[in-house]
Amino acid sequence: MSRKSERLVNLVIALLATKRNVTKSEIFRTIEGYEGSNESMERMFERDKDELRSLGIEIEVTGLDPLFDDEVGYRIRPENFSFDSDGFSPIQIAYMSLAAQLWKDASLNEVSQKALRKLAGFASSVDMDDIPAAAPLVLSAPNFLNEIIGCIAEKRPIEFAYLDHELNSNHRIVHAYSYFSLNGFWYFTGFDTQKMDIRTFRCDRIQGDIQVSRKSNSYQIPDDFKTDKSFKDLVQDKIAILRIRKGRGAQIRMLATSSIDDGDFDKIQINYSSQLPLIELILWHLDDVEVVEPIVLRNEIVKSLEKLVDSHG
Amino acid sequence: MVRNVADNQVERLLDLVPYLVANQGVSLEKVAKDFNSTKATILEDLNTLWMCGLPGYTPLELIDLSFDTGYVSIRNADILSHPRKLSSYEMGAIVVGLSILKLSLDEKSKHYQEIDELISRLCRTSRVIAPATIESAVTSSVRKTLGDAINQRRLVSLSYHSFAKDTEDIRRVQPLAIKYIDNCEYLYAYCYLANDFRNFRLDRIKDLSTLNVAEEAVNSSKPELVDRYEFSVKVTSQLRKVMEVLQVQIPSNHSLGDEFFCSAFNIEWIIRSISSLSGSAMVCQPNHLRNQIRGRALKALDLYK
Repeated sequence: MSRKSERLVNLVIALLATKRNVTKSEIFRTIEGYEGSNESMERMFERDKDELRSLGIEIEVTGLDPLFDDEVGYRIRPENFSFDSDGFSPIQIAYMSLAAQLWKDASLNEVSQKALRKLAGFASSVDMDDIPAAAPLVLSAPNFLNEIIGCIAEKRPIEFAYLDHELNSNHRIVHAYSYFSLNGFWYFTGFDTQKMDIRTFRCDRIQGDIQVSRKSNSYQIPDDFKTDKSFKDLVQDKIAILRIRKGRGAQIRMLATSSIDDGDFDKIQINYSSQLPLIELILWHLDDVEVVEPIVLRNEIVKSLEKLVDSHG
Repeated sequence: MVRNVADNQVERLLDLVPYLVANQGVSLEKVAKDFNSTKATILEDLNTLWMCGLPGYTPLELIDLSFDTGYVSIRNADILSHPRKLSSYEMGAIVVGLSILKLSLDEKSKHYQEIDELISRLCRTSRVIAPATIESAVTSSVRKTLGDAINQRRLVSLSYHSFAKDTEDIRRVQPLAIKYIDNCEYLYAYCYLANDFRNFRLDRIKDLSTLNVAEEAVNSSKPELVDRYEFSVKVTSQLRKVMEVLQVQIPSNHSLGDEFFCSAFNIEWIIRSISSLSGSAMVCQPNHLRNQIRGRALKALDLYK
């Protein structure tokens, strides 16, 4: 293992140090570790290039022009290899380190550890106590959140199994455009290649792992794309009138646009957009809430309660 | 694409060089700790690195290391001395971390502005995008007050709405930690109203204030965990919803009508959850729970007669 690591590090150093592209024969002649027949060195070099690329190192290739007989040349440009060459201020390094440390013991811990050790390569000394850290001690995010972020950056389609309302698993292929978090859940939005439309997915409804396409730059994010969070703020165009027992139903009362006294109850009016979540909220409060209007909603509640009585009889 | 690969020696060596350049004379123990590795592995790495350098590989071109005293210093490693670019994954973790950090700060503070600028700069230079939004029902002032109280071991007074009981009361508590359970942020605290340890959902805390009283003796011999209440359900529709509400793992070879076993801390919570599922789930066991649900539903139906 060490011999191979040695050869790879030597290859990186040589390709970084060169001011012009070096050819394969120069590499075989000068870099320690390439030995054996020409064919076995060729194979070795191909594998080495693949391995370095899998570590995120960009190797530039030139001389692929078929009209010229030049031998193919290779180099690694320092600006592609190093972290932002403009440098960072000590406080910026400290912010980034603190951000990475937030993931300690959480899902993105492993990548954050790697980021941290790269950041430790910047000579800096800032007292972290200067920065108020009132963030939650533990973060919650799915393991594959960084894969989704990586795929958006590199425009790689992702495939995964998604659970529908009845927990049937559906195979989806999505071009992810954006990601966000609402009330503790992580979501991403993108183009669903089967539905041929923009869809939003909740990460914890993905079954198993996500598969990342090997092809980068497979799609473009439309310039006019805006993350649609409208499932949160739908137009509340429907009105319901409810009776709520005095001293109860604080969660529903928060939605009230008006409230009038009605004996043991208060009669409140609320605006709502979709019926289902409201039904759930009303049913949660059992005999503390009665629907007065609309009649459809009233009937739904009665139907559900009767079903509950029947199934528990 | 850079995958979440297990630690790889080449990667470690490439990160080790800039680290050693920036931290000349660092102890082997600290290197091992910072690299999440063992001293033996780091020694093996250093012995490998020792053989690396520019073509020619004479002492003039090789990286020069000294570490036999237990402290590491490095020379002649200029080519690799600059920290390596972060992968999209690593950058993603940093950008999300920074966004969460920003959320906990006052918008007018210097740190907030600086972090905001840093996020834009990282996104501009890396193709990684920042989260479109991170929203939580918890305000940063609640988080800050609680964070300060935990650090300074102060008591707080809070008004808490219990969703399960649908009541609100004022409690004096000793905050101990903030933690995540099932995607919600909770304050873990000793509550002097209950005289026991309790979890409070941060988004249901109201009228929070720090009391000018330091920590009182907390009887920590009490068990932390309350017994869970076990029950079983059959699901007739909306399986995903039921699973999420009852927080139960359903095996992949499920079918509708199978019986699942669940548990919860609070019987009132079970009754209300089953009711809110509009008949998609029915409790099979225990019988007295079935009777309670039936009784409560009948009482609710009385309103409609």
